[in-house]
Amino acid sequence: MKRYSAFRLIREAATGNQGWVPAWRTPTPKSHYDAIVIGGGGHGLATAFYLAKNHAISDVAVIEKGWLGGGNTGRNTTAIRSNYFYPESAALYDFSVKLYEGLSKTLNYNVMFSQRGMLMLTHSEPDMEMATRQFNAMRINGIDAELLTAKQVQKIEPMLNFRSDARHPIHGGVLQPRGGTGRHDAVAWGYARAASALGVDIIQNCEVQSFITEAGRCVGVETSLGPIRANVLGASVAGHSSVLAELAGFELPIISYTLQAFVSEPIKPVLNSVVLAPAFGTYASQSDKGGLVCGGGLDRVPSYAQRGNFPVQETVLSGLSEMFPALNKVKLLRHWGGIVDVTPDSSPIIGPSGVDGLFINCGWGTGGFKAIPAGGYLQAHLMATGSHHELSKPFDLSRFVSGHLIDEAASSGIPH
Amino acid sequence: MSSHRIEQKGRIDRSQVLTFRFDGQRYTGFEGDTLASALLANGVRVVARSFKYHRPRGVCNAWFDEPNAIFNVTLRARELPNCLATTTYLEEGMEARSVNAWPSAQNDLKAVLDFAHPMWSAGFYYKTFMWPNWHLFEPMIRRLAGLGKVSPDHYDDYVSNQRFAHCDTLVVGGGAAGIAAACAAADAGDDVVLVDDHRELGGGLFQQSEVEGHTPEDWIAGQRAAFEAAGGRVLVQTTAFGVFDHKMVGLVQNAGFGRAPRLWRMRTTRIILATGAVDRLMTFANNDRPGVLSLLGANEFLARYGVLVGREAVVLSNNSAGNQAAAVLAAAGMSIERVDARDANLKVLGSTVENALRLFDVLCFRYY
Repeated sequence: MKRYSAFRLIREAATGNQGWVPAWRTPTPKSHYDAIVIGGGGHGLATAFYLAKNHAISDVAVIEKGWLGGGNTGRNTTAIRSNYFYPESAALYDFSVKLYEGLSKTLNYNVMFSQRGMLMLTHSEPDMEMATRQFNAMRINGIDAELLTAKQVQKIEPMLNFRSDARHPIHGGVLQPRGGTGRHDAVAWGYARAASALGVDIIQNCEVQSFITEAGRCVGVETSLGPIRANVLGASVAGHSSVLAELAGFELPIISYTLQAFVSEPIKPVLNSVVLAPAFGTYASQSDKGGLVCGGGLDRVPSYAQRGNFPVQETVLSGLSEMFPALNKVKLLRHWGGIVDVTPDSSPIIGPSGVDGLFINCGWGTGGFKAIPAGGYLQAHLMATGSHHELSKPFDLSRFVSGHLIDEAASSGIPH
Repeated sequence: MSSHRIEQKGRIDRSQVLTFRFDGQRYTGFEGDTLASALLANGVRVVARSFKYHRPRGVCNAWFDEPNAIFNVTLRARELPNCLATTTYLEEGMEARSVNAWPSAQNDLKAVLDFAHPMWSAGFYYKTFMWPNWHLFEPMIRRLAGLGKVSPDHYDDYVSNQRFAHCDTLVVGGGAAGIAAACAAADAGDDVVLVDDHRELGGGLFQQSEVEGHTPEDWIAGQRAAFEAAGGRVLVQTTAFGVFDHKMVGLVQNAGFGRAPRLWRMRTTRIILATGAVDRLMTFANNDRPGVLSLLGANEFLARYGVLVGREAVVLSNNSAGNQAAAVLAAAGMSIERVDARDANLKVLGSTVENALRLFDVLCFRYY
């Protein structure tokens, strides 16, 4: 892999930009690999990268039915944070944030992790009590957090609605300073490039049609490009996890919903952090290009439709203009939907699938992007060693049998 | 008023002169002009800068398909960001500012970035700014990006009215095809709504000298009267922006500058899209230079605003459909050099657009 750097940009500029090569190879699939990763989104590509980097398993194929990062990796609102309640979640998501902090240098690809702060607003005294509880939990779990007064919130986001007639006056907030946003496509492309350089075969436009099982063990997949076999398989197919599980012959406690997101026309910088207003269910940040990126809660009805609809658009955008009244003159540019896999306790599932030889990494709900480095790292550990990393152990599928749920929906009030 | 205006042409009211400013400079236009047509009539060529390299950009289309002419516009102490100059109708006292250019689009200091353009190849930002840390570079890059500034003022009455409506047939696009479809459906007894985003129905018909033996104005007025007599409803200055579940179409009805547009939820059983065609950009080196316009745009500026975008022009197309449009421009006084992209004579122009623009005012293209 030819390294990217400012020096290289200057040298290429001087020689007519003729020396660039594709960021990853486009090989034809072999009939057998040491490992197959199903799903070429962030989690899948990261799994392949860490298999090669941490476990010296580079005879790996990543199989993607569409294009790289075309699922939720390319459809999310790029927020990265670890402001969770339970120790298990906090440890998992903060591990991810820490990997993100070094990711551009690890991959030699600028993923633009911008730690501009994740700010959750409160609108009342009871809200503030809940925020204090969350703040305390975060500090106990070793995660950076600050409790803010309304004045401190105003200093960070002066465009917020501090008028006396605001429908939901701002009381204060909790800030995670290390939270922020990343460049979502760059995460997929960066992992793809680094994995490919370590020998991973990235195969796009290749759909898994069925699993090949021998003596009860999964030994490969039938794909639209023919059969591909492997010693071990891992699936990271957010949005279609239960569809794939059905193909493999097991069930997941997952319901899939559409989650919508929105981006405005580019404007000069007005937002400084990622702001979430629970009263409206709307959150927003501003991309480096200048677009306001915002989203809200899930659609109410389970669906596999990767598209937006009008009622949610109205809910989210009216929330945005309540939060930032001056921004109601900004025009919407794009609006889209992705499919998220939601578990009963709103925590992910990482571990053996129940079918021998096949591991799963799924159920991240609305928050998979922030967990890409951790999800890939832990899934690679599972596939390489056959056993859990300490961090992924609590997230095994078996918790739904034993009852050891990690109920982040109830505890930190995430809206699903 | 200027050599760019053609007498007797256009849908403008020459008795009402309007004054406005663009990047601080005072200009005049007429009632019925858009900001873009008024600027073209005044011979203003550079109206914007490109997002990354800050290359000079001019108006190149006449309606929603214009990619360049985006202004912050202030009127009656109300500033709206990123207004498309080709769809913003001129009003007395408008103050337009180019976006992301300083001090003006004509003289933009940030154009210095263009000198180092080989450095900023596609995706350059993924390849650098990693050492020591992205946070060191990000604030500067954020300030360089973005288009218009958003005023922190909140306009209390900038709140959209909402309408809920239904019809049997919704026709989107009020040109010849849309009018014909709407009339046919209304005659057949349907409850029909016809929407068009212009101020008046007609679409591309104003480019024609006659329609079925009438002037375009008379023909359109006659069709509209018949349509409305059959129970049809017409919504102008209304854009259909999405077809949602169960054939609900979102419509946004422009209420004039500075006023929040009205939102319609139109539930339908049939949707007819008669939205017409736009010219696609022809690919050649420097096709983004000011003075390069779409042929459709040039014809619309003449037909709707009486503006001849240039006196001497090269008209470039890759098909024979450009001939009639070029003939209309020629009849209005444009001296035209016709070039067919399929023809080897393309080399006559030289290798660059700059050569062509040195010889001619404008270069219009048509590409299907």
